[in-house]
Amino acid sequence: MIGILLRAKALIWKNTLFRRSRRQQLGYLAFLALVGYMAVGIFRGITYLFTTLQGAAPEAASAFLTSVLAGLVTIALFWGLGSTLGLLYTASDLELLMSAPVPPLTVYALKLLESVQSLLLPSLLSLSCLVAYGVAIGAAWPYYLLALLGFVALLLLLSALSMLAVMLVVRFLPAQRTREIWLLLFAILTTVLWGAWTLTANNSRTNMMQQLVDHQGTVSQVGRALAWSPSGWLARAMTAWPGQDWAALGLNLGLLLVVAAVAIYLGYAVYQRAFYLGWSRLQEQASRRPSPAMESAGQAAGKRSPMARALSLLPIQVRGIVSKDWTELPRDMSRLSRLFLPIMMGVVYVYSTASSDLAKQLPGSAIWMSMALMPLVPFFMTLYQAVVSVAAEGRNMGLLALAPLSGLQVLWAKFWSSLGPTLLIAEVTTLVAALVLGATPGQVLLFALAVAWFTVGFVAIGIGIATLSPNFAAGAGNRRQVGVESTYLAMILSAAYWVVHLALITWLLLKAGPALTQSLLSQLVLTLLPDVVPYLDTAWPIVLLIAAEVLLWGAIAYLWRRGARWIERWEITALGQSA
Amino acid sequence: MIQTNGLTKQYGSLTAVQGLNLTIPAGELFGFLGPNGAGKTTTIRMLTGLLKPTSGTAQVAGFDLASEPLKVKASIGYLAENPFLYDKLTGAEFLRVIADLYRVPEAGRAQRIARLLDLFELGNKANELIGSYSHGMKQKIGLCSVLIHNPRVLFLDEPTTGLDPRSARVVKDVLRSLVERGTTVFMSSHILEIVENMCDRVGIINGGKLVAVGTIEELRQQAPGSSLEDIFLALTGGAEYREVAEYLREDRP
Repeated sequence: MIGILLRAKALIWKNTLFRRSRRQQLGYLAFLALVGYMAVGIFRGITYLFTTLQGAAPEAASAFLTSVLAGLVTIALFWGLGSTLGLLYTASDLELLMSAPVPPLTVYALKLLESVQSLLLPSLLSLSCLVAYGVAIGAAWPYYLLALLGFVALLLLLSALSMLAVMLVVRFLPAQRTREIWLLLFAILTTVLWGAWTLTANNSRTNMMQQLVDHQGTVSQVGRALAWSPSGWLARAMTAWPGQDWAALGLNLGLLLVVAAVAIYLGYAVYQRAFYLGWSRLQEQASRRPSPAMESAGQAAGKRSPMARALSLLPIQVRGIVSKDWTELPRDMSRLSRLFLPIMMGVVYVYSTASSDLAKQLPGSAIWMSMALMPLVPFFMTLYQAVVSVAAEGRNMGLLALAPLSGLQVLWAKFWSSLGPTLLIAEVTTLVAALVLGATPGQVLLFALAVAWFTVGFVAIGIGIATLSPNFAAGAGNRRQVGVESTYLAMILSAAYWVVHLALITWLLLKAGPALTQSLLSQLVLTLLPDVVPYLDTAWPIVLLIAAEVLLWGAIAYLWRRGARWIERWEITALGQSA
Repeated sequence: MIQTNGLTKQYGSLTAVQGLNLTIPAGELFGFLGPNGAGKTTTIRMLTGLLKPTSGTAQVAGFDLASEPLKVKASIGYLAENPFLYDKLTGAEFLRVIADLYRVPEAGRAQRIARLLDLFELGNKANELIGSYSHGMKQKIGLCSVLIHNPRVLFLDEPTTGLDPRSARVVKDVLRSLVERGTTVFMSSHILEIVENMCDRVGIINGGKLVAVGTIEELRQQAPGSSLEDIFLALTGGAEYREVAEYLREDRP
């Protein structure tokens, strides 16, 4: 039975891969080539790291392997929880599997294998580390065979643990809600890890390899602490190879295999007892209880919320879409989770700039340099809000197409609905950063206005690009909502807008700003862009800036016009439904 | 109220609807029948502006679909087989959004929303997320949404699918009263009994071509048989279905 199911899965995979247009196939091949190129580069880097470390400090190399494996396994486990939740409770094949005469053990085995498959990508880095360590110690082929065996056991263990955790959580919380909360937690964790890594990397001025060698005592301590974890067993087994300590190798690898088998068995036992309970809760969704005022046939159903009243300046149809989008946003954790990375990026880069050498050399410059980078927050938020705003409608684009709305009205509605949260977060982060850096009230006002202007431009660009390559089928899933070309075009145009307006603000301040500001900015320009200085007092800057403004706003107007026409010509076949 | 002239839709080499000529006057309840894949939904989608015809013209509610699409859209309501709904909005919020999109005046809007919710027994669910609704409730909130702006022409694709008998009865009564007030209703359904009992005229489409149109009495003259089911099967190849049934009977061990 499992063979039949796996064959069906292989068939689905094959059809997904090959039964697509030539353009999609070429795009996919290009993507694979890029991934392959990056994978080779990463593997070479890891191999170089382990080889150098093994030469300088073998103890640090083995401890480093343990620590890296533990870190990677933790990330893979966290990743696995999300995908296992989908595989076990929200996958489209579940109803078929549950209604067909398929034994529970087969369904469990299939889901376990699917979970392993979903973990494969984030875990490949662990395998690369094991192989790189083998290369570093000059191991013979049996090492790689054992490393592969241990890697597979680790994957099975992780999958079984993910399934166990998911089944236990879903006993108490509906699957849909669990998935949303999970998405939010994953976004926060990833963002915090990225932020911590970037800050650490920025702060460490010395070579990373040298740091590892210098701090091999600490690394070894971490390695020892993690030794009694599944990833620790695998690392200990493999690091026993150079010393030919076969007993340690056998014991640790055996331990891993036994624990993996026990976890798989336990997973099945819990599956038999808990899965159906969670499955029955599948249809449950978080839903607000009706308030007493609403219970009597929706007496208050027609009342407007304060938010809707605040939007009363907008035309009624535009207001309808904006209030709909703003009502949905706080209820949709998958969309909310996308807001964390832009905020963290803003914080990290502002912090890095404020603590840079240049900021220390030129007192008072830190705040100006940091504020020049603050538009990073709306810049990235635009990619997650405005650029995907049309695609995010999913199949409900049909509803907008049915309504008596012009294309331009839809674009304006999407502009306002994206501008609201983007501007709010951009302003809050700017104000907090400005106050932390000790800005004067005048500077705070200037920065707030500047960020608002940047945000308006970025969102206008994002909305113009939103109709270039929307993927309406992406909706609830994790698939890309717009094509890569849309993302890159939005980034290029927004970066151009950023540079032009930053130059304009700087030029205006140099010409008409307070004396202290003029002096500080002059020194900054002299340090960062010395070639520009001779032209500052000529007509060139203003001529170039006006030309750039005309080009930029011309491009935005063209994109909007094209987008409006695209919406008016939109057909329901764009949703991929059959006639 | 609805007039089509040679309306055609092609998807590559496949002709989904071919040369459709229809005239449906105001205040008529028109039933549109056809086997799966015959072109019913494609026709409705063309008449509602969700698909552009490959050739031919259509007038809906007195406006030309190609040159005045917004006026057509403001005058019609369309309930798809799977209604377009926002799962993260409550029923009441969704109806308010639709009222905004169709520029329903503020005055009396709240009462209208409450009355529609009451009519379809959704009053106590008005403040719950649509994502938590059952299939039937989603169908009902979809019906509320297409009625909120008093459309002059109503397009319904399988409107009673998923409804309990009581709600199905409400739908029938609502449609009847709308037609009496002059609303044109264009309804596709596979439930022939409903079409036979409710519709003033019926059109049958097969393979993209309109093979019959008229009152039930007129259709009886075009094809042998006494019930709409017999007429439908005779016009759309019912003999094949009988052969399948025969095969299944013989195949049983």
